[in-house]
Amino acid sequence: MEPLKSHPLARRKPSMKIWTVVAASLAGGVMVGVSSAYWQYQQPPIEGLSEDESVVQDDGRLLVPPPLAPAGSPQPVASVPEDIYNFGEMRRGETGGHEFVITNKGRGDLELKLGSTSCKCTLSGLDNDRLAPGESANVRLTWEVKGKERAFEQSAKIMTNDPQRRLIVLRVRGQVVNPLQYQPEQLTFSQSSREAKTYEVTLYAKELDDLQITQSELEPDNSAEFIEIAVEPLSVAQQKFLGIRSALVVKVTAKPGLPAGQFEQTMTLHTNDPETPILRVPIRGTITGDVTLHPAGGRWKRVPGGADDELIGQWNWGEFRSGKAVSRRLMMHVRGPHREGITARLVSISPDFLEVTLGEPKPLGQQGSVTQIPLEITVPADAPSSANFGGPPQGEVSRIVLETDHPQAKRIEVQIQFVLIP
Amino acid sequence: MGKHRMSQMRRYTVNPNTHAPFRWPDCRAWGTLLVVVLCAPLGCGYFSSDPPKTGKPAGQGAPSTAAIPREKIFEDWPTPKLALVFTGEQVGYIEPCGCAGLENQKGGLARRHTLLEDLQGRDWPVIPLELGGQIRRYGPQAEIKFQIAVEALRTMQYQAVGLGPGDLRLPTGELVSAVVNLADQQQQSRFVAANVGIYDLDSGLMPKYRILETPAGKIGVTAILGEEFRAEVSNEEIVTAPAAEALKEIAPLLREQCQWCILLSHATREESRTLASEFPQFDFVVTAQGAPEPPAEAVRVARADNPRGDTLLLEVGHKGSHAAVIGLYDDAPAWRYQRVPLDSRFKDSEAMLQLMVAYQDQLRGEGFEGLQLRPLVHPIADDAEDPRGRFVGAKKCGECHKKAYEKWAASPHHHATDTLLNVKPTPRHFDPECLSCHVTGWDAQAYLPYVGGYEGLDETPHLMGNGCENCHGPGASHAEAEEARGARRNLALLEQFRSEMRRTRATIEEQTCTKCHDLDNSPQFDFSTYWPKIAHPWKD
Repeated sequence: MEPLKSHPLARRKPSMKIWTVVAASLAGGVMVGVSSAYWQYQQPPIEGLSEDESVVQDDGRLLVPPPLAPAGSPQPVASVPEDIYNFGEMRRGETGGHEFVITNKGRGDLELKLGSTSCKCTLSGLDNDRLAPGESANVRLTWEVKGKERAFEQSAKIMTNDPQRRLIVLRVRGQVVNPLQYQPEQLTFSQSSREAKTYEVTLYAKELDDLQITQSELEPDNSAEFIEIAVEPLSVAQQKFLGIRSALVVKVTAKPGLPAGQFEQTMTLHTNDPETPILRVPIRGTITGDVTLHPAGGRWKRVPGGADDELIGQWNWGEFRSGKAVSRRLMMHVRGPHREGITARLVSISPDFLEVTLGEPKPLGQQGSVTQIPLEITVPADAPSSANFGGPPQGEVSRIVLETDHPQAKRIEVQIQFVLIP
Repeated sequence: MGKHRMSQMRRYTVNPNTHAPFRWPDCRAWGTLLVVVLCAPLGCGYFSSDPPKTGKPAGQGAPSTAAIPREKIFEDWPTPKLALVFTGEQVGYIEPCGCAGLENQKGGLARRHTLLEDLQGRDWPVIPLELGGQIRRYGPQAEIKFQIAVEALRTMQYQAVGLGPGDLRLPTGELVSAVVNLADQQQQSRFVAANVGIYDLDSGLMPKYRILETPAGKIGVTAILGEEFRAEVSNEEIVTAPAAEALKEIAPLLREQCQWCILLSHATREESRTLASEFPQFDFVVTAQGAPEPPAEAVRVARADNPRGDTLLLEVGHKGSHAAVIGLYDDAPAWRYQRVPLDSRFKDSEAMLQLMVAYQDQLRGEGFEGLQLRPLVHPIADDAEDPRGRFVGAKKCGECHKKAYEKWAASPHHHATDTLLNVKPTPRHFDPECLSCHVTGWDAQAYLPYVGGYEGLDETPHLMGNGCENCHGPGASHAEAEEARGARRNLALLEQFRSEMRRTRATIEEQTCTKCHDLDNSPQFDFSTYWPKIAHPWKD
């Protein structure tokens, strides 16, 4: 008699082969499922994304639209003859309002629910947020024109139980106008402390025939001796061309002698426009020496002290991994009378594994108003893996010393802070 | 990858060149098939189940009805030859403010980076392009933020970047540093400007256009600054020219060499539309000053006799809140468009979070002095020496106004500074833009301290929290007058200072709360809902 165990159906334990088949089938099934779903969706969803925007609201509540009427029952139809309205021009600070109308042109009740809005929005003419067939509701948007944008847009989202239009977005757009405008809204000084430059602000009056500036002042007034303010009318031809009633040009001249560093003042202009009696124009900028250094992506932090003809500054590279070369560029810009024919040379590099390339001087700008000298600094791939030049107390700073024949920058010391991580 | 494997599987199962004689599968095969069929739903479930939603579960306070059918992102998009991702007008919003819950806010570099990485993770070739407008304000903090934003663009491998009016208000040196930092391997800057130059239009610091070699062919990109914004440039070292004049030369040149031409137009919508009509060489014109959220469908500008059809006028939304994505294809349609809201569904990228840490570190390193925060004289005071402008801190107020203090102490206003200390990935208590609403004695809108306002955790611990004096005004004179005894007690002054501290609900609603609870930071703020949480109509 054939042993019982030899009969395949009589086996108490499936053989390894069967297990393999079952496991393979299981894996195959999952794969087919995954693949078919993947095929169906063409692209996998982006990781971390839920289906769409718009329903997450305050405090994480999920705002949901009104429920749909059961299939086969009379359905509502939300009709909005106008969902974008151009309000035209508004002044800054003004409050505007507009009413949109939503009508139920279907056979079932239309339910409306206010979603997110960018302004104040009220639903009116509604009985329990529900419109019977043929009824209409008003949606009123009110807003205040704020900010500095030249145009405004406000919107409100209304959710409905219309299966074809679950979301209605109502928008109001318009332009912001000021009766008294000025351009630019800020003056940016960018100059050497040895030169004089004039900057202009133009004031345009749309509703005034004889715009005047009755007084001007600077706040704080500690640099007033170096600043001159003059006012001239814009030519009649230009006024006509621009379609305005009167205009003035305010000329602000920064004279030589402004101390080097950041410059921050406010110019206050008193006008005869009753609606805008005072205009405040910020003046910002940097007053530099003739020689400036501009590290790529970083800030040149001047180290105090040093001789009058020395420039010493720090540039922080932060931490980075060793084993890969890291290069950064620094641009030296030279303005003023000594820019032409300026020469620079490398004097010392510490640590000596740094690779430094000093480029050729190149004139930039009209009449070569600036001379640019590039400096490329590389921490090579084979630099010591735990080099610490982060500065005190952990370590030293690296130093690259240049010499130039410019009287304000005979010696330039570039201190670079960096730490290599093994 | 998945799609590729699937194609191979199909070839094996439906191979027209296989002519093996037909035979019924044996039992083992049937069993296998059965298991496969039974297990298939497991796999289906992986892809068809809804991804987790943000916020609380729907059951908490929400009806059980289904949510609005959501606008799916990249639905039915086959793999494009190239995905162009357009962003812009970030105007300082490098991250969404977390004051009112990040789930309510859109934008931020960390989410933007995740979008780009997700698209690249689909094996889509991606080219990010930036309209410009990194910053809005000025001063050292804006300068640091600008450099951080440019470093982020470098990390995200942006291939062309335009300039906005806020960027061009920066000192020339800051622009030079950024332009040099964002250079490609040939040391050509990825800042592009057809009609803007540093020192000169032809200084070479920024190219007038870039031609990118891509899987979809050559892409030509240029950028302009519109007329209204040109008038905003007051720095003599920044030279500009009319946009149309600059494009007359560049547009035909790009059309001749490139399969696709793009104009990054930092101009008003109207001017960008005019430029799109005037220069039909461009397939895509990306404009500034669009709507807060870009339209669901791209706007077309008619372009006659062009096989690709109309020019698309694209918007990028306000404050870096959205990206606009164009997919390019060989077959018709030649392009697909998708606006992408950068909301909390996108996780924060670690690389960008590290940059945000570096940004905060720099602010800390500069300190208030380095950031040139010049304290303002409080409006109620005549000058910096006037004692009426001095702050005493909420605890001092609470010595007399006990019930009001208790209510305040139980409100989020009390731990407003602690909130900054506990923000991830790094505390924000050195950031003036955060401090202004989270401490006592600052001008919330100017991001500047008042004289005698909060200076630091150690320097002015009594001014932590959004205290009483932010709404009522500085209380030193009031407290001093109340505490004066004997001959020093002046009843007239006592009443005057009391009167100066009084606030009505109407003035608070109109003038006070919205300085911090504005649309950016507290979009769901509703005075009538919030007021009872802080109202304190008691004198003691």
